[in-house]
Amino acid sequence: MKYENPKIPEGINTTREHPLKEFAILTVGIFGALIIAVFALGWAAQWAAPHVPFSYEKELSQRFFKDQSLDKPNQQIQDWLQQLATRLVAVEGLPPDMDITVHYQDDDIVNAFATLGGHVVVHRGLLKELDSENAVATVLAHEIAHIKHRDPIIAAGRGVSIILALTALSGTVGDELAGKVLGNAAILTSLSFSRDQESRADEEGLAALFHAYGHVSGATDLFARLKKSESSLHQPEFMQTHPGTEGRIDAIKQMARANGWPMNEPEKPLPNFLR
Amino acid sequence: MQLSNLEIVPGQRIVKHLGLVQGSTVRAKHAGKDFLAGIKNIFGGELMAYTELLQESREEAMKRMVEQAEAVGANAVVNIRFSTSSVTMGAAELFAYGTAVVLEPRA
Amino acid sequence: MADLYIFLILLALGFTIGTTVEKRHFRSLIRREAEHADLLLIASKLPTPDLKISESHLVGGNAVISVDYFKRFVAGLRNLVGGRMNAYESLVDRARREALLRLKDEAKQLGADMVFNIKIETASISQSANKALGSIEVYAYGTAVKTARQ
Repeated sequence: MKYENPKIPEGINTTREHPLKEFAILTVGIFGALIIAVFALGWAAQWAAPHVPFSYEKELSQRFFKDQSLDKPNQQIQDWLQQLATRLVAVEGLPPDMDITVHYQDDDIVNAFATLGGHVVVHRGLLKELDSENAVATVLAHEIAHIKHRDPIIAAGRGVSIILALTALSGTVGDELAGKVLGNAAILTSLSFSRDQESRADEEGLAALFHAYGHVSGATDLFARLKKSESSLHQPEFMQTHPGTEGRIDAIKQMARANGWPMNEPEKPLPNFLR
Repeated sequence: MQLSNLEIVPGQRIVKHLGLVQGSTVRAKHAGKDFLAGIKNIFGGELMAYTELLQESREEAMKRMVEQAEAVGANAVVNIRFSTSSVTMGAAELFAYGTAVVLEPRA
Repeated sequence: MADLYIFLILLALGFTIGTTVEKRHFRSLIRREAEHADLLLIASKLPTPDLKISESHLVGGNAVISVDYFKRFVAGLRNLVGGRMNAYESLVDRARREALLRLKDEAKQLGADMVFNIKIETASISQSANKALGSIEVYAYGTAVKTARQ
């Protein structure tokens, strides 16, 4: 018997394909599919959200607002904001079962937001930037418009679907760090309203301001303020999810002009306790 | 003790089969080595510490198998096989088994 | 955000260093395999009787090879769509050939010129609770014999 070990050529059990090629194909393919899925889910949420009864949305949010007892440091400010909101609600013509609850949060964050169940949260930091009732009303009218359009539930639906998709993905990838990165991405992308939703809320808010006061002075106050602070390298949180400041000022001015709503009427001063 | 993973030992004759003998050991990885291996895991390549650890454990398993063989009066173990299985996270069992036999030189 | 940077840095490091290490390993494998070409590895169970065998020993060699971060990530993605995992093919190939070379080293030290009944045993070593493959161990063993061929 003759025994021999001839040399076996290389590369039979391994592929010579460049690993970066596989990486590129897989990343583009999977994330492409994921983005399409998220868009499809977002679209589905947009379609389905208005069919979710508002009472259910309220129930959902009640749990959150009960647990997270927002401290009420100043009942006076709280009541004043609530009264202002009630006036705007009447003007914007919200369905009768949709009621707005305003919360005043005593901290320096320059932000105000609308969330599930008709809750609007205004931070002290934002109020400090405003110096007329009209400017405060602009912010409130904008947030109330979000609720009227059911934007919070749409965002929540979209957010939940994105988080689900990314969690499923990170679970399969199986790497801890990669999972964390994907999780953060999910939270970031789900927190905001879309630009489209913002512009619609701006329009609705401006109309409400006109109907409440007979003019739209003060509507650009906040943005003018924010623009100034933007240049000093301080990026307020309020801005991050919203369209460009300059663009919004222009859009508001243009809308006011098109409708013939006066912009230079005297503004109503803030009550003493806010000055 | 003659060890072989063949069924016979060339040049010798099996005069007595003494049945299955086995040796096994379960080893956990060293925490410090684990840490270094974790770093190495980013770059890929050989984990020398584990290579040595597993080899030592395998030798210990084999030593135990030989001990069993000696106890039953064998002078060789043939048809030896090895197997490895992870018992729990971070621990591995090394197992060696074979047939204990008594050999006699061929004429 | 910091997580994302760490992740990208790990990917880049894994790719550059991992690829270099792998290339160097393959070169070394090819060189050493050529050096050991005179020692025959036979997977048959028994040597044919015409070989005059004077001595036999059990020999073995093992190697634990780990896959780099980049390849592990690519494999994770591949896991989603299925198909051939190119990333791990070179890992098992390297580990097997390294283990066989170590077996050959031991056989040569014993003065053998053939190894019969080669068995190869592969085990995955899990790094942590998540089941992502960290590294694999390959153990190759067989019976080294001294023949009259020499």
